Amino acid sequence: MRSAKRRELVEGTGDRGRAARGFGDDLPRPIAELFARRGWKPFDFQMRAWSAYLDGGSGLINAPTGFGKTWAAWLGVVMEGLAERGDVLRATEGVKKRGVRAAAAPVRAIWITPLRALASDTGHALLEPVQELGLNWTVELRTGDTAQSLKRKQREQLPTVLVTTPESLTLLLSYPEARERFATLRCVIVDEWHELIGTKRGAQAELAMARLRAFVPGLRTWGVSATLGNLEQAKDVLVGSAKLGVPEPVLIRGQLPKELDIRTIIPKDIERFPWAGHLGTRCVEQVIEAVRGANSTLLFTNTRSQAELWFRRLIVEAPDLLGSVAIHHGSLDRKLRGTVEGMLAEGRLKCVVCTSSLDLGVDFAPVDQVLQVGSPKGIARLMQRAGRSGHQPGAKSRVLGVPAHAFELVEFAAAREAAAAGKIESRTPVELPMDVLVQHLVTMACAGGFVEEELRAEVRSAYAFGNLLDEDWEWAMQFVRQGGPALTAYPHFARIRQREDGRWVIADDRMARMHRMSIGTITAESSMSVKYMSGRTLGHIEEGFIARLPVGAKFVFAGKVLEILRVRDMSVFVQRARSKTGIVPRWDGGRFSLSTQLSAAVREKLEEASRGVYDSPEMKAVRPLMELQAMKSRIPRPDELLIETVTLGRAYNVFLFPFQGRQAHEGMGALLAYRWSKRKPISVTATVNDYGIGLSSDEPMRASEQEWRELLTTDGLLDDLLACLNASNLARRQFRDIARIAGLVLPGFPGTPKPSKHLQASSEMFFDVFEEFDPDNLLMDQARREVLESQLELARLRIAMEAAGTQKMVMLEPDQLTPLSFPIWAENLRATTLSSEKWADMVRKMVVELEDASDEEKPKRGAGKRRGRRRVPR
Amino acid sequence: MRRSQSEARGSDEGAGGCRVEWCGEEFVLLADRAVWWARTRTICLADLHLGKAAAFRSGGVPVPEAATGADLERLTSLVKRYAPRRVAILGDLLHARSGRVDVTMDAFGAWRAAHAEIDVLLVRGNHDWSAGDPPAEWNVRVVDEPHGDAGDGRIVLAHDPAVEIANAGTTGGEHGMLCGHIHPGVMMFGAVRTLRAKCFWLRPRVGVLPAFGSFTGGKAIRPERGDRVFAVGPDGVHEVGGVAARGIA
Repeated sequence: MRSAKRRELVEGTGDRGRAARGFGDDLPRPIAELFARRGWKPFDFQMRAWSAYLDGGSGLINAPTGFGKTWAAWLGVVMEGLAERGDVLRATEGVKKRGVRAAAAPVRAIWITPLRALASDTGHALLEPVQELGLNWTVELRTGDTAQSLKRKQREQLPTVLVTTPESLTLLLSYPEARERFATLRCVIVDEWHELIGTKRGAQAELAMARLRAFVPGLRTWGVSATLGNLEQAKDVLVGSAKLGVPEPVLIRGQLPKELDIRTIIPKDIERFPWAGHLGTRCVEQVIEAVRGANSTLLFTNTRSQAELWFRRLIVEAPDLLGSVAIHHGSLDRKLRGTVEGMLAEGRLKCVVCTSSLDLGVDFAPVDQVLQVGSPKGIARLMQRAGRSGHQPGAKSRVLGVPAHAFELVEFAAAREAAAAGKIESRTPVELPMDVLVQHLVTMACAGGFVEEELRAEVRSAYAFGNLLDEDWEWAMQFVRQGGPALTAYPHFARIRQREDGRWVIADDRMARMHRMSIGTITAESSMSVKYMSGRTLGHIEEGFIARLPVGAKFVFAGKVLEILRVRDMSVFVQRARSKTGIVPRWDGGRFSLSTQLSAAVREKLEEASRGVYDSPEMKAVRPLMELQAMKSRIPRPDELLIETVTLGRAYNVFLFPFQGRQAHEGMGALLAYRWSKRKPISVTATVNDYGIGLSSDEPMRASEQEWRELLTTDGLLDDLLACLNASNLARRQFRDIARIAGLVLPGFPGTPKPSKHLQASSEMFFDVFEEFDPDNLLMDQARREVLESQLELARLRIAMEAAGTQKMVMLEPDQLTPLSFPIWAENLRATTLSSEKWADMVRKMVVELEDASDEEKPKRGAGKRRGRRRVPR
Repeated sequence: MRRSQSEARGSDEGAGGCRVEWCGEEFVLLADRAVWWARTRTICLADLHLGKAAAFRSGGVPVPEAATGADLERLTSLVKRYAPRRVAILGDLLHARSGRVDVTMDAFGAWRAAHAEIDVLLVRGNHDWSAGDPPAEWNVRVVDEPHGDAGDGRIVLAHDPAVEIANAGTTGGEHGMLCGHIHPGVMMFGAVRTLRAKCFWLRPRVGVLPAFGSFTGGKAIRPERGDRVFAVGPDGVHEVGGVAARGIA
């Protein structure tokens, strides 16, 4: 352990990078006072982190939220600054002449946060010790929300500490002066690394850090992460492979996780409790009771739509709470979010309905209790959210589960057991995202250009591209140079060009401008701002949702029912509507799979139920449902694969229950539909949930056990999967993100006019044109790969298929939908259809919806299938 | 992907076309996203968006040029099959000024030279206004919308149906108006699935053609009672059933 080195902290040494050294039992006095003033004592893991930092090392800090993780990562940097105070003092002499900003210490640290919503809180948290210790440092934000004027100032001189997001950092690196501007950098700190590691934004951050390490050899990289099953790997991904002789990166684990208390609201009338549905605000009375009983509550939902629904429901059911309940999610305007955060911190709010926008972040505003609406989905996720309560070290964190339907009771019971047993999920890092590489090449070309060999080595030092083959690199270069491998396929195309000295630079200024516009779009959907006529902005909403609504339509946003007045450019102008109901937008994304660990725990609970063991309040509550399942069909044991066949009117349905999570089921469903449609001309639609797969058709589907085994065989698995990707919309859907990141689709930003109208195209158009005219395009290949690996979780899918080969098949024909099959049947969104019928035969069976205003309020066939349309239940 | 057309030649049904009577005239709606108007020996098509791929490429977005060639091949095979006197383009022949690059312009120029005997008519669309008129050597007759002298004045050719649609498709009076512009697509709902396709949208007086060009998107239409919708699928054009009897499959 480095802290054992016992060195004195030497003040006033100007020797950069190695100036400060580790310390012994004695903290530097100012730091000790910082703690003393708060009545705190540094934790051992914080000391170890500071010590490792001061020794020039990098590493990953794992500590639960609310346990001083921010200070663990930050005070090392501060101590180093204190040690160099001489420098700082000299710099302050110029204050009067040049102003505070210009006189501040040069850029020293970059703090990367995954959500720009968190940046401002983070900034405050970092500034606090800096100001208290009188360091002449500036702490500034640089995110998509930053004002233009500040951005301009930052272009001239960076602040001492820059709080930013992966996108904004990449944007800063796209300017030719970047190398010079970042020359004094000491460290990069990535907050909430667990949120980034499994994502392409994580890969983008890795590339940015590789770049910074090239600027500043020996740059220290630190990360802060919640508990993951693969922390060691998370650390390796963070630091990359370019170690350049610095000390071996360390993994520093905080105290034992806080004690976690998981309870669940038990619905009063389980018989009438819905078996399925995301909208189950059935428990609202009990939730209001819980909210009233505590000083402060965070009510977490899984999606932004749910947050809007729950907020409306709360204030309708308990009007007295109006004014003390607020809503907070990532699509709301930064100012609104800031107001809510401020009021929460001041104790002026009783309850905030929120999404993941509040389950991350610096240690602020601890609340009395946390409520989780709907499935916890994963154990780590539930622990993270629970960590928002009981912030004081040693305090218990409590979470109260609010089931939206009956089986979520089982999930909460299962989550409690898995958490107690320490079964935490891993996050698999992203590998070889070609779209991110393509984007990075152009970014580097903007930034004064690059030498191919150098950049390739640098890119490979990022974990995500550690296995980059020469041919993949060559393809990416060809893609940005000439569109693809064949010179003739893409005439007049070039994003980068080679200068006479061999450097690759951006083709022209216009291209650079367009590229910078598109950098921020790794996650950003093309969105429109929602505004009052006065110009006040409420937030952003996906264009696709608004496009479906006529002027005069009412929708719910920011907790209000709004009426569309007009749509212009990238803004939708609204006014408060009189009615109490409106359509709730469905934002894309956010459909997590139940984690492997939690799925396994759920199966265990079901196994107990099948033996008649009901040992927790939740399981006791769902007992009638379990017994109904056992009576109508069967509670599947872990060594069984249950197959239920149910005919409903003209729809023939088969349900299978592999319990491998929504995503793996989506792949299995598509595969089964495909294999079935190969047997005879038929259209098969697959719907899934976390427990199972439903196949429906308007033709009977009968198969013997032997035939089922053939349908479920792992022989030819990959070939069949690829074939059904082509036949279904799965790859096409996945291509949306890829097209955006690779710069095919030019985004429209709220507040800025769309890029030239004649250069607009949807990702679908690109998908079609590539599929037909350039099928070997690696971006298409990536779309397929992403669908297989991340979207369909190929690994889990394979496990499920292999298990199906050995499991006992239990085939039953219940006379109606069972508690297990009903939720799948009700899950009519995101259905995947495979068809071998003639197109004409399909069309013959279809209807088109007519525009007919008088019928608007009546539910109509197919309306529920359209994404983006959901009504608030009365 | 595309079915072979050689065996289909000469037979509308075999070519996947769909014969309809509309505004007192007979038309064949073709799977290649064009209309054959036998009485005037005219092929109507809309929204070719020539040079769109090139405009994207010069804007730094890679779109394969092969799309242009494929569109022209489709046009060639139509012309071979029907031997039309006239090809009427209902707007948006050229996509943008930046799309007027040699490789694309030469391709259409060559097509035109090979079919010099055909009268090619262009009704200027919104893109044509900004992209500029076709070069003189293409010998394309360029007119503004609405253009009335195509078939005894009974059918008017235009690009943008906006005004007529706002008036429930009746402002054409006794005329029928063929146009394009909106790239119509249709969503169809079945018992267990939904389906999307480009389509012909025939309202009482306004007929909207699907976009002919490959690299074009679609906009979902909301047909009203009395409209007819013909979906274009991989095996031909089919009228979508149940438009009148709404609601239940």
